[in-house]
Amino acid sequence: MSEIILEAENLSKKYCLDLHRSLHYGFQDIFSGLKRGENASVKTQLRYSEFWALKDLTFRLQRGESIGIVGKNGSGKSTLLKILNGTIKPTSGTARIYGKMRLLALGTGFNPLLSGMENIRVACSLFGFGPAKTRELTESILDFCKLEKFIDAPIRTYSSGMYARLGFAIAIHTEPDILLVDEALAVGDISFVSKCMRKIKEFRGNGGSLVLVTHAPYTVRSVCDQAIWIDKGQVKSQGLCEDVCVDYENEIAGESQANASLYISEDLDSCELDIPESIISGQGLQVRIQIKSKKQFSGSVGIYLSVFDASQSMLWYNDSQHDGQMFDLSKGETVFSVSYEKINLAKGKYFVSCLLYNETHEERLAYLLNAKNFIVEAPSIRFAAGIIHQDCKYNIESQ
Amino acid sequence: MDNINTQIKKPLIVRDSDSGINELGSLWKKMQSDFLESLHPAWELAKRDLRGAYRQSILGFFWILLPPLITTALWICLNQAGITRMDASGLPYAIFVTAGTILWSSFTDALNSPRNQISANLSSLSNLNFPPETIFLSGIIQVAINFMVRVLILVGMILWFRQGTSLYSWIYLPCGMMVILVGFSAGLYLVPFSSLYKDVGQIINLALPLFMFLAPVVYEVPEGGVLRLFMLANPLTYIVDCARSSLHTLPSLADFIGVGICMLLACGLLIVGWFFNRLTLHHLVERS
Repeated sequence: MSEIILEAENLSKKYCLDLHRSLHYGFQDIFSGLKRGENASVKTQLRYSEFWALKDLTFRLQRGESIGIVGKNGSGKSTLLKILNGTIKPTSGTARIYGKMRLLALGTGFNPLLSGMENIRVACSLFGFGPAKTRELTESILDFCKLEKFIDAPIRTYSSGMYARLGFAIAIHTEPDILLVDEALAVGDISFVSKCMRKIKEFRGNGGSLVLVTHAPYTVRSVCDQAIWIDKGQVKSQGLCEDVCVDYENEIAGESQANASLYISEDLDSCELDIPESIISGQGLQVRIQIKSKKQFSGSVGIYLSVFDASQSMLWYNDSQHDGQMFDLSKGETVFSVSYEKINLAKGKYFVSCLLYNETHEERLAYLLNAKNFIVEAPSIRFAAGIIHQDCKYNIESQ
Repeated sequence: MDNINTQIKKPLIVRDSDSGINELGSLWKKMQSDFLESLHPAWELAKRDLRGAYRQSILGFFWILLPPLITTALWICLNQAGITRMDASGLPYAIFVTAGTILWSSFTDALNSPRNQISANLSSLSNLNFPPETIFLSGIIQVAINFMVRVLILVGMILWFRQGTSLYSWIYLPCGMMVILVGFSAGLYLVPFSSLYKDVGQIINLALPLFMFLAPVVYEVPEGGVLRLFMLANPLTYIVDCARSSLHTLPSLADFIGVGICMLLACGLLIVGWFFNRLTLHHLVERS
């Protein structure tokens, strides 16, 4: 029988936009909190300048399961994690937790002047471990974060990636039942992120549960079973990971297209992108650029094409000038095509932007930002983690 | 409030909006268990902060000694120049004023400790779930260590002036701890207000040097006048007098009674202040 490890019921949290008013409300709340009895109106009504950072969020998490919380910046994701972690109280609602919980928050509690080793000792003590257990954990932490000689250097000399290594290594090795991760994997390098993903899978395999906050749907797809999409504190979609990610991407796609900008110079009549609506991961993709020009350009037109994911991170670009190709553009209609032999992207929605320029970027002929999007369908066997699948050949060189 | 239910195998933690005021009994139990749980991390945090504070400094731990040394030197100069005429009741004035300023420095450190600790650790409190007692205890440990280091100045002075000490000189140490307790207990009440409004901290910093003259730090309690009344109303007067008297004689019964009353008052203040902070701390964390 499945075992519930976390259940949240109607969690809500309100904040105040105005700093001085927030301090004034804080003063009021301190004294109202010292009075016995419940004051329901304080919990349900918004005072002037207040807003719901989180409203009526309900979900359940079973042992070994993971849930992704997606949403844009300021949607209430981190507020939810802080409530679950117990560092702030909900305005109303309840969360019941049947196990130990750790929030993976990078660098929190670290003293920048002290070494990594000294900070490990302090962090372990804050998590409630005694000296003997701390020594035991330190070995596994050092082995995982691989900071080697830097472990004795002051951590203010660390890069953000090294901070991430140390923070993740401490959080994952302090034996939580539920791990709360707040965008923490975004700063590490590829090898570290994949190492973290493996560790997270191992953690889940051992019955650990995960609450992952991110604005990148592909991260959620790679590690989560279910997901919640929060927008302005309200639940917009909740359920199976794939369904929620699709809903979220559609919303982002709508917004991106609403924000799509189109610039066409006076030298052109029109410029349009034509791409297939969907492709299968691993197949090719052809982007066609249809142009009607009022005049002729001889060997001086360049094409710059870029592809973005749903969180508007650029995945790659191609610049024909960098690739040593500039084109003629004749008067009338011209169709360019940019072909990709294999698109090894994870399942999801992607956006294409195109810049057509004349003479080494000095003159823009057309700029189509987020003009088109395409969906990548992927067989489930591909992309257990990550956004790109790289084909490879396996050989035994010697045995 | 956070409840721990030990009826099932794993602890059941409940996060809700209850501040804990409606179940003071269970809150008190939780505070006690958190206190015990805090002892080791508080020691680690204190070591972290002491190391961190002086790691980038040439003078290092000498900075602990500097404030009482400067105050002492200033008052000795004033006294020798005849600008102030202080009676030191049986002790060389240098020892008299050193003993007083060490106690006063420890009091101000203890008074400021809770708000400084909260302010320095707000980021940790908002991201890591650990008992808040940890950072308060860590603050007390640091103030107590600073006090013990400063006592070395006093020992040095006593040796320098070849001042004979009494059998009761050790009383100075528990009196020092008492001063820290009084300061810390009072400081607990300032935390919510000084965290919300920075003016509170500024006012305290302005008022403390003036408040020093309402305690027998650099001079004895006068025979009469308004200042005497203020001093007698000040709990620190009894502790400072008792501590300093112990350096050359057995303190009077009145001193001991005064210290006993102060201790009871400070313990009461400490417990109420502890509750006050447990009930209100989350308001500060979410506004950090």
